[in-house]
Amino acid sequence: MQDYNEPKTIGLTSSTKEMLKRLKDDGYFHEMQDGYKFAVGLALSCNAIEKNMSNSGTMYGTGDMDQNNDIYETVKALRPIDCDEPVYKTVERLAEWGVKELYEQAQTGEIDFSKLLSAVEKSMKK
Amino acid sequence: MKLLNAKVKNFMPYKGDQEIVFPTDEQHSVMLVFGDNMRGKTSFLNTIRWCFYEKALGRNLKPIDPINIFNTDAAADGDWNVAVHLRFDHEGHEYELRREMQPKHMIYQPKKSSDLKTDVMLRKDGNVIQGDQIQHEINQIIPEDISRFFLFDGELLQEYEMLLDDKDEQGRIIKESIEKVLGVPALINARDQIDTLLREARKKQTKDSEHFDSVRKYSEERKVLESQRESLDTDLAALLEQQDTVIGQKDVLDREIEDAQSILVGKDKLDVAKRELKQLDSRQENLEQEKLSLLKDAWKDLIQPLLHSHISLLEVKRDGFDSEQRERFKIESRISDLKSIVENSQCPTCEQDIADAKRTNIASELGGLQADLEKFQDDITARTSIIERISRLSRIKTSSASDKIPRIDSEVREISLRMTEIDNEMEELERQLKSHDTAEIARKRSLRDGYVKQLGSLENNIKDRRSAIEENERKQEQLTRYIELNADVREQKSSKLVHAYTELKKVFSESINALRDNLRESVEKLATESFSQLTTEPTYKGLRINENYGLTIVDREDREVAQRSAGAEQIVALSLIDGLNRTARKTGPIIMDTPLGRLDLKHRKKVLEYIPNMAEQVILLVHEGEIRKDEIVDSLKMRIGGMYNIERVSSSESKLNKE
Repeated sequence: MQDYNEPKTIGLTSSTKEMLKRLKDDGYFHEMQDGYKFAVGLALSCNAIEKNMSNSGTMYGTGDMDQNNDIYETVKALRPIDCDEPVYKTVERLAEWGVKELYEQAQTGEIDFSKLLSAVEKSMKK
Repeated sequence: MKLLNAKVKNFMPYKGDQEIVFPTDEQHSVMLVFGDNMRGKTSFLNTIRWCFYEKALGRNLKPIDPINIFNTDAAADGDWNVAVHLRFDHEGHEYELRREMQPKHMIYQPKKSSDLKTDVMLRKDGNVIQGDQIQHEINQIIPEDISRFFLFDGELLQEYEMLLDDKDEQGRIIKESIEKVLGVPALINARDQIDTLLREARKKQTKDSEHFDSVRKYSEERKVLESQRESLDTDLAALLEQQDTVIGQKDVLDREIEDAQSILVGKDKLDVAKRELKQLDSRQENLEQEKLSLLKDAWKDLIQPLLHSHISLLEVKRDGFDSEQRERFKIESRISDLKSIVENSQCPTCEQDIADAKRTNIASELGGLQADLEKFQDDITARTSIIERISRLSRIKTSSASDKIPRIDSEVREISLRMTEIDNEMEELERQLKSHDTAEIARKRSLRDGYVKQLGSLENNIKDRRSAIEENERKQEQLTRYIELNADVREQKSSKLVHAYTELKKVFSESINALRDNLRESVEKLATESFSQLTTEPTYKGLRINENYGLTIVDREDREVAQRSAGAEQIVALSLIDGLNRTARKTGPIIMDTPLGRLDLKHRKKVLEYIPNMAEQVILLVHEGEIRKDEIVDSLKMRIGGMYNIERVSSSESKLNKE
């Protein structure tokens, strides 16, 4: 169950949104939304987050993008306990960091999804 | 005659300068040159042939256009110079033969053979032989007419099988070329010239006999026959000329079609490559789509380790609560018991009264327990919340992305590599195909089929004319006998000439037959000697030769063996070549290209054991499918005086490496 003060929409800063569009156009993701979610997961797995995020634009309704509340629950569980902002605000900051990271990887060569995922696979086996 | 060494420059695949040294030691007179197919074994044979006779032969012994002798890479670099320099010994003299080909003066980019000029130089013991004497000198040492017996392509041994069929036109042509080599044509020409003289004499006799009434009728008849004969001869000559022309035209087309055949194979390969590329492209597209689809939920895979540890922490908390709850139940039960004691002042077990002091203690204990119980109130809500969180988070399962995406990436990488390889292959094939028009090839095939039909019809017409000539000859001889019944006619000079020429013709005809019989006998004897050493079948006694020099296997019961395997065919053909070679000349090297191709292992072993005895110097051009370097039979190994390997540098360049 979400808190009553959770935002109803989420997005990215305009420059990062443009990066996500480029990633989608370059064939890394089928939809921008897929890249957005992957970026959130990447930031969480790297324990990284955008510290100072300027105003974000609206991209998705949270109800549409996170129909089962999986992202909400995940971020709520995994973000630092002392974080007192709405969960979807954290989601935005995670996505902001993740998209920038993915874009940078794409710029310096290619996003190696196998490598990113196999790191996870390995840590699961440990 | 012994080859000493050869220096080759830009000859077909042999780009730049390359040298080969031949074995000269009598005990080690065999040289093996290994090369895979299409690497340049036949080209090596051609370097020798070209140097001696200015001829290079392709498949089916068709001449290679001189413009195609240049190495294409060297020519592309502007190096239009082909040269072969051979050193050899013959009867105590040392020879140096150098043949060189280059563009004519002022031609920088030759397009056709007429743009080229060839120079030849021959030195004998250091002295230069005059230009017009060079070919004569070469033919004294190593005659071109018999070169097919010592410079031969094993893949062409099959053509000797045609000799078995008396009616086969190809067999007749090979028979003629064998007889030419063995010296029969000299007698045939003499007989034909006598025949011309005989016919002239008959004409005169006919004219002379017209004056005698008793034979005038016959002379009139013979006049008609003579006229018919002339017309038949003219017809036959025209038909033979036409046959030669059509054979020539067909040969040209055969050669072009054969060249195109490799191009067509290339086109088939290109089509296969294109199909494979399309399939790979489609597979790659499917994999990319599958990957994109997997990436939709791949974020869940990324957070699984964190989620797992978080859930584990929550579970530890939940377990803590559970143990607290058990504690709480215990307290509640104790409170209930103590309450009952305090209210009834009686032990619930033994029903004895409880002393006041004891009751006070129990009341005090009860108060403490009730205070402990109150602490649990809030934690129950917290436990419920933890359980709900565990349940919600456990729902977020891993997708199959982390398992499948690495496999997809690996397959995509392999596909990309294969696609690059195919792209390169296609580029090479397209380059080769560029100058060939497949519709033109189809047109040539149809034209060639037309020539084959025309040749069939020409052969029938020639046969008809020949039998008509025989019939005419028979009738003329009969009329001569009738005419010569007249004693006056017999006394004519023309009749005496007819008689003399007839006898002479008979002598030459019988001599031809005697020579042929002798040659056939010699070939049969020598070929049988070879065959008995080459065959693996102990029930075979030898070989029997037919009119066409075709050889049939004969068994111990002196029966002809009708059916024989492909391997046995090759052994027979090899025996024939050996027999012909030894009948035609006494010494000299043998260079054999792919001689063991169709032989089974046992025959191969026999041939390899026999080969060192075939000539003073034997050069074998083989691929490893014929002779494995590590399994060379001992009898051959002992005789090896040199080994070379033809190494592929590129599709248009090979190198001769000494081993």
